[in-house]
Amino acid sequence: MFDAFPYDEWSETVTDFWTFGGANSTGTYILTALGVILMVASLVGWIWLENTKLQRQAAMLRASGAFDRPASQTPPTP
Amino acid sequence: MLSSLVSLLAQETPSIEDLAKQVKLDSLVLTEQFYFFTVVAMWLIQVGFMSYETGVARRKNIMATTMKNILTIAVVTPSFYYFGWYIYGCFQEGWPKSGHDSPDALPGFCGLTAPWSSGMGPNLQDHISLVFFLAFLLFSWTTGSIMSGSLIERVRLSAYLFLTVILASGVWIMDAAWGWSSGGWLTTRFGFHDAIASAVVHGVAGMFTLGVLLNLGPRIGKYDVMGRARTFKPHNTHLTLMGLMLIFTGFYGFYAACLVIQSTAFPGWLNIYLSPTTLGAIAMVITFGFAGGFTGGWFASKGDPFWTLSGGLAGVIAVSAGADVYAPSLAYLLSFTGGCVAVWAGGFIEKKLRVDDAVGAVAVHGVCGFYALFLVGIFAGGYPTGINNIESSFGGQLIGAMAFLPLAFLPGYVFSWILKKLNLLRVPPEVELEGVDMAEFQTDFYPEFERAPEVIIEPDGREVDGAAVLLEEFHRIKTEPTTKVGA
Repeated sequence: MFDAFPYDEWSETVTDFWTFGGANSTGTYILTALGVILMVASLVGWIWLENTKLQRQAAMLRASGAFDRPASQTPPTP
Repeated sequence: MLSSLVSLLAQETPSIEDLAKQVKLDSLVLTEQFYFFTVVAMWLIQVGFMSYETGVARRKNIMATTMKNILTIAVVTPSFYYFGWYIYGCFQEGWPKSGHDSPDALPGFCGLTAPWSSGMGPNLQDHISLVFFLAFLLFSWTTGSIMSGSLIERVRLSAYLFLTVILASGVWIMDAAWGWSSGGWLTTRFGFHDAIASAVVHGVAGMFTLGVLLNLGPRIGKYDVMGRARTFKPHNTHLTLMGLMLIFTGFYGFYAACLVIQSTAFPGWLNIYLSPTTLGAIAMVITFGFAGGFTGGWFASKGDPFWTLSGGLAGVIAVSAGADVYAPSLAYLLSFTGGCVAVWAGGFIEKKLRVDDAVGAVAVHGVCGFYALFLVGIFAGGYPTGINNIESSFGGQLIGAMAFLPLAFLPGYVFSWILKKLNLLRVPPEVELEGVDMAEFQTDFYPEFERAPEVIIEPDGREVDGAAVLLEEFHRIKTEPTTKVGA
């Protein structure tokens, strides 16, 4: 049973079995480039999305006066 | 072993050549399995850092803290695959000699580290490259997580992720290429010896973090008008201590992954410099390192639970650089001093330097990581290191420290300074006061529990209402903002 599959033939002729091409092939170069683009885009996206959320929340808090100094603590104006 | 058995049963009279071929294959598969399971164990380090830091955070910042640790994996994995591993493979002599030339120690290794190479994908004839890469990837996650705890409760998640990519896929792996590889110039020329990465991982991550903290600034209310440090109460100390214990468990995987297996030749195990050691030797050192570190941390902090456990971590870090050669008693003694050094350095950084390091990472990882280098120079001087058998020495360790300190600190400082100038480093002060979770996730993550008033411990030990203190500090910093208000 264990001799049915051509293991020896595989080990001698197949060194890699990647989808979209083997090592150092055009397909792998393209996949690498796409992966780098996704990585960079996600970092930029994280920065942009978080900045939007933080600025919105900060503006809301400022507008609500949640952290205004209580009236009794306001320094007297001359 | 199973494949060997099956093969032997299938053949009536295996020849010596068949047996030799089978032994070689089994050795490769054994190595592959070994690194695979170290990776599994090292996941616990990530779980531990997540629990540890989340426990330290106040209730209003728990998910923002947790997400940093989880998303570390999301950004470091691709960046280390696309750039970091190539740096390790090809920059061991400082700069590739010409094109894809490899260091002499590992011919061909450089070419196997590019993301499109045959070493970085499914390959029937290479059982080692991918699992070896994965072990290093987990080390990289750890460098990011070392930094993350220090910055909690005021850093932007996106800023942390950007800085983590710089640290985990650029800075630490460059120093690893120089001083934590068989072909690294620090080792082959100066006998630099940091067997289990005291400075290479911990020290460098700690000093990078210090550079970031100088630009990030303290949490609102951390220091009073006199510059004295207040204490914020962790929302769950038990979670923090459990996280530390998980980190400790994962450290056994980390230690094991730092070795190279040579199962078909004596002595079977080599350190990262290809000098002989054993798995048992380093396991003894890490265990005694915890024992000594806990003891030192306990006495130096006068029984503080957080610093006792952090002392254990510091103790292990202090002896990791020489873990392949230290006797257990020596490890016990040195790790005791490591636990003490961490506590004292932590107090100095918080109270004298006025740097708000929320989890003491600069002291535990940064200071003790470099402290460990000098301990090797003193207590393991003369031990032959690497393929050139250069004797380790205090001078060699000093050169390594001089190379690593600026390599670690400057990128952390410069990149965080750029983010600060772009107003992308720190959350707005209003958001910090309310808690980052509300801005990021619009919810409280303990909805079924009543929210108790925040309590802050003043420098003189009094517990006071946190809301009043924070509001006062909020209005004070608006005149001297650490970040632009309303930008």
